Amino acid sequence: MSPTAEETVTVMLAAAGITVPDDEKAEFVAAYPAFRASLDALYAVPMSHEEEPQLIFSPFV
Amino acid sequence: MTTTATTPTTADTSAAPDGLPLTISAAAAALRDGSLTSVALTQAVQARADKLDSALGTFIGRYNETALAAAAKADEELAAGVDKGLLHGIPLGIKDIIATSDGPSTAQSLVLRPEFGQFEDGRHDALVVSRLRAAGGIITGKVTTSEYACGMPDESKGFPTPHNPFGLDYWTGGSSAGTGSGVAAGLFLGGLGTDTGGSIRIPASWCGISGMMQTFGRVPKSGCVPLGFSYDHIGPMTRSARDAAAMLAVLAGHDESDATSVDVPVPDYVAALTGTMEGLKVAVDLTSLSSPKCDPAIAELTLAAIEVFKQAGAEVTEITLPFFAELDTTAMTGLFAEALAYHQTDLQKRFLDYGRNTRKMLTSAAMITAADYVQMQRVRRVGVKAVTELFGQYDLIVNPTGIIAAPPNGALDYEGLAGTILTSYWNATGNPAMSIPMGQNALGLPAGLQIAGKPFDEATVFQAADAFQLLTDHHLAEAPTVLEMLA
Repeated sequence: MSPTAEETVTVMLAAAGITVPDDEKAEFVAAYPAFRASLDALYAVPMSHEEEPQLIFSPFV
Repeated sequence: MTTTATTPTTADTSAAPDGLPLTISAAAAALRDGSLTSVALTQAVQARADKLDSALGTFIGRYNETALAAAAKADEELAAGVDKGLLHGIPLGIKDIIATSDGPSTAQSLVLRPEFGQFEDGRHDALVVSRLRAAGGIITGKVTTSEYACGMPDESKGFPTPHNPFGLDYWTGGSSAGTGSGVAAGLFLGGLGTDTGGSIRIPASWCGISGMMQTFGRVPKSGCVPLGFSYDHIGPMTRSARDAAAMLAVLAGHDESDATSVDVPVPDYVAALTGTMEGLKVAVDLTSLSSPKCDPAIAELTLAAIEVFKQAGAEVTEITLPFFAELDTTAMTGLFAEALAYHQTDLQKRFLDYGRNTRKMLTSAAMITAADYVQMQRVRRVGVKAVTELFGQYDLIVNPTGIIAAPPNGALDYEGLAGTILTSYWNATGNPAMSIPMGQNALGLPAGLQIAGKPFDEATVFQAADAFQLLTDHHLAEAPTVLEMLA
């Protein structure tokens, strides 16, 4: 079973080490499904499976 | 009443009723024909600030003495025949996330480390500020921003709240709030903003001025507090496109102090203003005008602006920008992913010292995975390819900067603005994009038209914007509220 939005938000905030008041956490939980959907939509953009990211590492400073 | 007048005008003689030149170009002409000195001009804008700043919330810090000293020096140089160009002797405002030697930066936050911009031998200018001073610009002060160039106005932290000169109950837009209100109200004639998702173009649009976000990498950002490392720009905000061209000519150029600075030649932007759009192929995306959130007046103004483009000689074709929603996501979530890397340790220790909206935006990025961030960058590459293909057919792409005018200060809601501002697309792709005034809505609040160009082809964007402003006078509109306060 997939974790709930509240479970995911709780874990992600804890992983980042950020403690937020309950009312503000509730806002993150409420917003999470739409936020996640907007990110999931990026994986549906047609592209080569080998497409590279626009940010390219350089060995020079 | 919606304003769609297309009165021919010349920028070089524009002046407010109190005699203050409205544009850098007009002031520069007056400084050279002997009818104005830089000291008198600087004193005039300082007098305006004395009267208006408490109502507008433009300044964080004013540098009156150093500004007057710099103005006196500019007068001496001009009198001696030393002419450093159009910015010589011109009062300018600097967004308070950009370091200046005159005083500390705050980023309008309790969290910014006081040592920002401070070195063992004293405070230092950001590279862009050094370039403005070398061109004879007069730094009048540091001006308001949304906290850390994100967030929204927050009265709880003790910083000034920005108010729109065209309606004091309305927001200026952000994050370059003070630069927008200050130019619109004549507290300085040009200024620096920064743009990560629209923070130059939004306040430019809502305050009735011109604002250029040039190509990513064109202007070095060293000495500026970062927000989204791969989306950030420092750029000019002025009344006219001609003035913005003059400022960008000074700001642009490679410097190795910024890892993202690109070494390409900088053209003479002002010399490239031909006054016409003859021969330009312009694509327009009007998709947003059918949104239920669209202010009908802005739809009307956009269509009227397109007619001006045709009148100026442009060949106009309607298109739909590809991957609009997806590229908006890559900018508006990607920038916060990059920002969280900068802010995470401070959020862990000082969460409540951030304004509520700022900490909400920054912390939202904790819900993004590493794979999500890389996927954003892959989608950006797909988007850049699609936009490059479009620019193989067209010289410019035009749409409204936003489909609403400034919202009331008391009813600001970040989520509520979703889908109403159309700027972040170009932060995702890195193309230059400019907002220019195209009139006012039924409440007398300004709206902007967005013109985007090919990478490093700001010259064509300026050419079109200047040609538009030769046929219209929206960029010279004075806010009635300002005129009433000055009377």
